[in-house]
Amino acid sequence: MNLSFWADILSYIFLLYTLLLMLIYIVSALASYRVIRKHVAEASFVDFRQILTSPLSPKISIIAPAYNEALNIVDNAKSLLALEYPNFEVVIVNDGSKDETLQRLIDAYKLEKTSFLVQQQVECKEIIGVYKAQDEAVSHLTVVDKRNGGKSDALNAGINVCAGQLFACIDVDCVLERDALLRMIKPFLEETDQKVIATGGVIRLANDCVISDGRLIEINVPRNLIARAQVLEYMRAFLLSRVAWANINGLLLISGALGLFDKQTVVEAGGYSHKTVGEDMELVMRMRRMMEERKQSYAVRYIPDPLCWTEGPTSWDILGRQRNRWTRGLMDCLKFHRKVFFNPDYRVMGMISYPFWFLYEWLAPIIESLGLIFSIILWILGIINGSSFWLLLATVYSYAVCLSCLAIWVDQKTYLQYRSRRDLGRLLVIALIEPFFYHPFTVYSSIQGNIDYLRGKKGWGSMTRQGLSKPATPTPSS
Amino acid sequence: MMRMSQTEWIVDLENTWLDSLSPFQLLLLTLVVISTLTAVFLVAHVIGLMLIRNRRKWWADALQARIEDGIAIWLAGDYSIRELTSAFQEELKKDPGAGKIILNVIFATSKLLRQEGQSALRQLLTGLDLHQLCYKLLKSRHWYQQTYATQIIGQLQMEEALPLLKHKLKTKNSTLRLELITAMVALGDQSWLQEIDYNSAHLSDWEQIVLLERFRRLNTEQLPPFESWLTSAHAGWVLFGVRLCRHFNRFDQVLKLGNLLQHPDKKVQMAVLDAFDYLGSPEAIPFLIRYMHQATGDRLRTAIRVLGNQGDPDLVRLLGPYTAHTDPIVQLSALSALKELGLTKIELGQLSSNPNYIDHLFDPKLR
Repeated sequence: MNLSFWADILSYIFLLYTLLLMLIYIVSALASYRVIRKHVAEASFVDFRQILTSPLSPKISIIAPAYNEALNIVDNAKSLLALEYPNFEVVIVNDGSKDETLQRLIDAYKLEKTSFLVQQQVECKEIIGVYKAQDEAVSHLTVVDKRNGGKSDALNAGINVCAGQLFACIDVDCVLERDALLRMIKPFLEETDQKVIATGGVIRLANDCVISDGRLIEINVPRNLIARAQVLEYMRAFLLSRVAWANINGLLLISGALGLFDKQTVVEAGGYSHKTVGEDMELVMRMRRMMEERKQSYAVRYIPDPLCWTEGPTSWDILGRQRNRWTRGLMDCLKFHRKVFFNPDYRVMGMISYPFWFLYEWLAPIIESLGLIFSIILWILGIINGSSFWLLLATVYSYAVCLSCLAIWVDQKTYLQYRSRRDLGRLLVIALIEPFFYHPFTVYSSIQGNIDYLRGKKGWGSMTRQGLSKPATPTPSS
Repeated sequence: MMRMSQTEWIVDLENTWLDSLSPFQLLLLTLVVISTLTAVFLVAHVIGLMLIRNRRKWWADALQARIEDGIAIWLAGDYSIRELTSAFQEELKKDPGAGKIILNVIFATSKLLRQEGQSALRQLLTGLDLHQLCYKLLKSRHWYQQTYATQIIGQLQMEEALPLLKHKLKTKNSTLRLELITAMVALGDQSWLQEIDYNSAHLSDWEQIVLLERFRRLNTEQLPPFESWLTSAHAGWVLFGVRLCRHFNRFDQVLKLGNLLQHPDKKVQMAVLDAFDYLGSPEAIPFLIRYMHQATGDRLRTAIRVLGNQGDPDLVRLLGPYTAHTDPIVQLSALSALKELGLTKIELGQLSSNPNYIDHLFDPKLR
């Protein structure tokens, strides 16, 4: 059998893989659109303020880990304390910051150390002190001071201290919509046949948006091309994919930036893992595994409303580190929970979600790169002609643009976040050019993440944020 | 050189380039064409939507402003209902699409008016024949149109629509069902209690919150006889009945509630404990004491807390042993309950082996 025969076989394998991926994306996009339309229609009849006066609303604890956030921590706390919900507390966990994070909070809210009795329900490093505000207006603020142990450790400390039936984990520097909790609580309250163990919300990028007093005033598409490409990427991920996964109860990831969890289930599952940088996904997978193994009926829900605004990286260096970490986190999750791979005992999780994440989230950058290298070699060797090579690239490119246009269309038909002609024009331009510069870089970073993982690299790496409508601040993450 | 016509060019392309493509290349080409055409269509649609939206918004805003002005003048007494009706009829003649906007404004206005004002708006609606639009929406295939119509019917007290509402009660759409129940309660019709098959229908916590909030706005005599739900076969309705008894201070139902501590659904048991805590009736104490012997975990802790809030010093002897319970959270609950019953820091210190618990309970910074 000659080289040409093997080239044909490999070509058809790559083609089949690509076609299947395209099909999955299209099906999930259409399903997502249908779900979002229904959700938007339903939400128009819902007066979320009814929860504000209801004695039946369950208590929610917001847990926000903070590490060296001195510059913005008071503003961030103010923003969290002003959320609309009748029965909630804010637990800020100072994860052994080396700056004045704790002192700024103590000064701003006149905090006093208490004899709070911490129940060690999940593993975390030593808690040095629990502080409460004496001012009645902010009596729902608790600050936990602990030894440095990383984000998952800080979240676990928050779980040990918090009193809510449900807890929301959030990144302290995110901007939440005022009614985010009111909207996120609904799936927990409306289920009668199964237990909702977690709910996620859509994250959007706030770069170049106008934010004042912790509130989003004006939404803009960022001027920076890297951030702008991420806006589109987030739209594709959140509007075209996660909603559909949630609809078949197949969601494996709830972003660490915003998620609402059933505390009892999280405690029973053992809390956040210290062994991975993908602690958000790992927790959801472990909770799901536990529920499946107990044969308990459960659901992981998703709210398609844009509830949380975060700052995206604006430099290649930071973006690369972020994607590298995401890849390593994903590999950890896939490794820890390999037992569920095509295991029918785990139903949707085992038969659909895990295989998808394995084949199309982890392997896709590798297969995409190999496919490109393979095609170039075949072209150089003259096994395929120029037409085939360019047609192949054109197919991938046109499909990518089509998918981006679909995300823009769904946004325009539902949430209409970007209303101006200028913003729409910017999004359409980035949809056309992003496959040439942004996508290849994320693929490269992902492969780098694979290599780093195999080399045993751990840790988050440093993240520098500009700050959302605030003075720039370097914040090395824990 | 002669220029080829458009048709010749296509024929030439078919004969040469397309013919030379392999099946693999043809497949790729097809995908490129489909993706490109789809993308172009989506972009065109987005641009079209933006243009239409802007124009439509301009028209709708202007119309809405005129209608709101008209209603404001009428409310001020400068327009009679006849004049207002005829002005709006003119708008309807110009554009039948104005009907929905007028309906919206009337609905929004009705929320701001007292009961007496509703009849005038109803008259206006009938005069414009828009009540027919409501019925049409109620009969539509789409749940959201039915829900909208139901809201208007309930708000404007359109009693003649009652049979239509009853007909819809078996819907599986919870949003619509909520609005139907609300509308029928607002219309003073309790027959829905029999009409709705509540013994087999689910009632989520969300629905309970919404209905409770709506019932709170009613006078006591308008409330449905919710005590009957305490004996429902479906836990969701029992739970709702218990919560309503708590909320509307139904001391007369304490005995029935006490028996519900034996209900198999744990949420019902917790709701009864919450009701007892809120009502604070001494009649509840025997039920709580009996319940303590069977409850575990959260329910035991809640029962201890509720007993602590009863203020009966005889309960000290009963709660004392729980300060040495195997579950530290139960211990803390018992100490807290005993503190509520008047025990001092020294007395509690003698009962507990863990001084941290006492520090926690008596820390004035922890309220």
